[in-house]
Amino acid sequence: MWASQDELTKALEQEGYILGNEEATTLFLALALNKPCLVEGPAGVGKTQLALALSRSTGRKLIRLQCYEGLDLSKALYDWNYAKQLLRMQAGLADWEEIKANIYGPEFLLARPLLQSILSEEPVLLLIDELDKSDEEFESFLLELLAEFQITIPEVGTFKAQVPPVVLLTSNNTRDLSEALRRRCIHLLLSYPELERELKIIRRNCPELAEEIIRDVCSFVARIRKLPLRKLPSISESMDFARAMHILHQKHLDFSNLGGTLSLLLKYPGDLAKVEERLKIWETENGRP
Amino acid sequence: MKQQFDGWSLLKLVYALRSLGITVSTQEIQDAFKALAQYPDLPPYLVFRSLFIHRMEELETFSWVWQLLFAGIQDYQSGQASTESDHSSEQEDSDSGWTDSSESGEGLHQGIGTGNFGISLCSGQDGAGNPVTETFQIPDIEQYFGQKGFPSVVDDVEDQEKFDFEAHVKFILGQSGFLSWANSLELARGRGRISEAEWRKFEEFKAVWEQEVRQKLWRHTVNSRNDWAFFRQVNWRFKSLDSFTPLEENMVHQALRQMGNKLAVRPGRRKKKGNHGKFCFSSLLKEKARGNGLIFHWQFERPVPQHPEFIILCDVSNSVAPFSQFFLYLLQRIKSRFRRIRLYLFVDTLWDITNQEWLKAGEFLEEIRSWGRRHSSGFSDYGQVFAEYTKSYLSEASAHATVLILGDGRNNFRPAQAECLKEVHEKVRRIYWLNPLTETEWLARDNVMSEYRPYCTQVFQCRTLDDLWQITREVF
Repeated sequence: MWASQDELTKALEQEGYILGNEEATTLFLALALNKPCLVEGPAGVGKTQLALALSRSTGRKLIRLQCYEGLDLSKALYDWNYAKQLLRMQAGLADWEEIKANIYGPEFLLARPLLQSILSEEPVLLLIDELDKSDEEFESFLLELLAEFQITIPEVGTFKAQVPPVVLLTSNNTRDLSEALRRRCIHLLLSYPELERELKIIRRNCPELAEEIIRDVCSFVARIRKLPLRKLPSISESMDFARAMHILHQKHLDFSNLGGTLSLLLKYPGDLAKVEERLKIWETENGRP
Repeated sequence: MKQQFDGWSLLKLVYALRSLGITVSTQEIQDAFKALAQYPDLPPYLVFRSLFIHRMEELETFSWVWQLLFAGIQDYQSGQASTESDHSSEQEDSDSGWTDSSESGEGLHQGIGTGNFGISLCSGQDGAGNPVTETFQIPDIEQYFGQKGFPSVVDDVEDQEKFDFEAHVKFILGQSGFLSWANSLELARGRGRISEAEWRKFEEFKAVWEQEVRQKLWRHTVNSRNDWAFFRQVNWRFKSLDSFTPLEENMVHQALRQMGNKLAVRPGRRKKKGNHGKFCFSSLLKEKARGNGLIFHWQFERPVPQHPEFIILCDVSNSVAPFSQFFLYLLQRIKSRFRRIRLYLFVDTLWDITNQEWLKAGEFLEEIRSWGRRHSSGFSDYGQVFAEYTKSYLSEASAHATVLILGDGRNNFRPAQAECLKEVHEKVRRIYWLNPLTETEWLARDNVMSEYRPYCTQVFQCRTLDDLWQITREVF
């Protein structure tokens, strides 16, 4: 796919995704060794966006499985088309042995995202999003797919991928994933970006904003992220905040003039109160980020 | 051309990682060699880290091992020559391979400085140019090794559990004058003489300085002992709960949050019928026997999460505070899922916090400090607390309840009043005691564990996250 991690970084950058050097190396290794990549990190650091950008840059079709509590095999892997099977039986055109062999054929199989990614003849990128939201049992279903790129359906047999999919799994760490699953993946930790990378991201995504306000917003968000808050501002939230400053015709960030805009960054009343209190201290010190 | 990473170095790395509780499989070693052979320009540090490390909590342990094994081998880490010009490199050139790990510290934390885990002591970085941090003269740490009063490294391998790394760290911090300097700054901050920004710089500097002390001490210990088992305490799972840095604390909170979520949904023995779950043949037969016209109807059942009754008494005096804060954090997570749980804090009086609103937000430290100042002497009195509990609250407990006590058992030479605990023991089903001290410390003169022990179902030593995890799995 790519000969080095620098090429990967450039390809992703062309798709609007800016990845750090270490993260790029890890992702590059996962792709080069053809291993699934488990992307972990807090909400809003761009885990899903990474998969989307990678899909665009590789030209692979994206197959996405959104995990949730109660997700089971019939929704993630495969199901039988019972109605069609009944119709086939009622048609009664053959003897029972023939029908039995026939109703468990590919025609009656409903491929769900995981099976779709295996059966696909074109290269695909499988995104298993927010895996930590699913039940623990669901992880066991994934093990065969992650290790061998194959899926076994008891009634039919084993399906092995013709073109191994690129697999990305994301997790917000709300639940600890099993050791077995972790060992089959390459672990990529995405954290909040450092100042320079966040500057680059906002510059790229919000070209209409002036350099001074971008720098002020990024420094301010970096300071907020050091506070003990319930939810730290994500990258998209800092972008929204920067855009809000632009809409409000703010040339630079003024601590005394942030009323109402902080709710773009902070989603809990407790966090808002904490930051407002801290702003008073910062304001007396220098008044600017 | 990069320096080749030979097999012997890899074996050393794998051995060290495995000794510290990080599993590295043969397949992963093969993958690592494959990657290095195919892409010789990739820095081995990143290759091994990507392939051997599967959870963020292990990243730091990996970096420590790497630094101890390959410090000074610049190419191994990043393939770039170090450009350090800081005082630390003047003291020890071999650090260079460590500090240039990532150009910008990208990855784990908000990028400040050049290290993997926070700011650097390099000049030109945040720590320098700050009038507050410049007032501290950084000494040569190695001069304190073996100095009078320096806790010696135990020779007996069987005694490695007793090796108290943190005591060594505290000794060096004390001898170097760092603790007095930090105290004076804290005092100045209390009086409003230090600005918020300066204080932040100080905290960053403190984290880095303590990290540096630990690194050098570990290198000294590993070199003198040639044994990785001592190093196990670096792994966050085996580290004493009172020695976490603020960054590690966040990590532990996250682990406890996950632990709490997992414990709260542990399936019990009871099962509930429904449309999902495990196929239930007996129910199918029962339905068929009823003869309600159904020829065949699938029956499913799934285990219902258990809802045990817990009564938790947690010592929050200063000596136990570093441990109880983690325990409380875990309880706070569990309490949000369990209905029958009662929480009491104590020093020498008891405080029922079961229905306190602030507990839900997990912001209990300030509340506890404020309560402690108003309602307690600051010295634990287990006898008085148990007497108060039996008198005022024991009647509310059912015979199915499990009592959990977190405390060190140091009673400040006050009467133990073990008969009160005996009364509790007779009323409830189980009493578990979680003690952060080592078993030998339970025999200290002011410790009354020996008097309480006969009335406890089990007494656990609970010093590390691993202890806490094992105990909670057993108890909940």
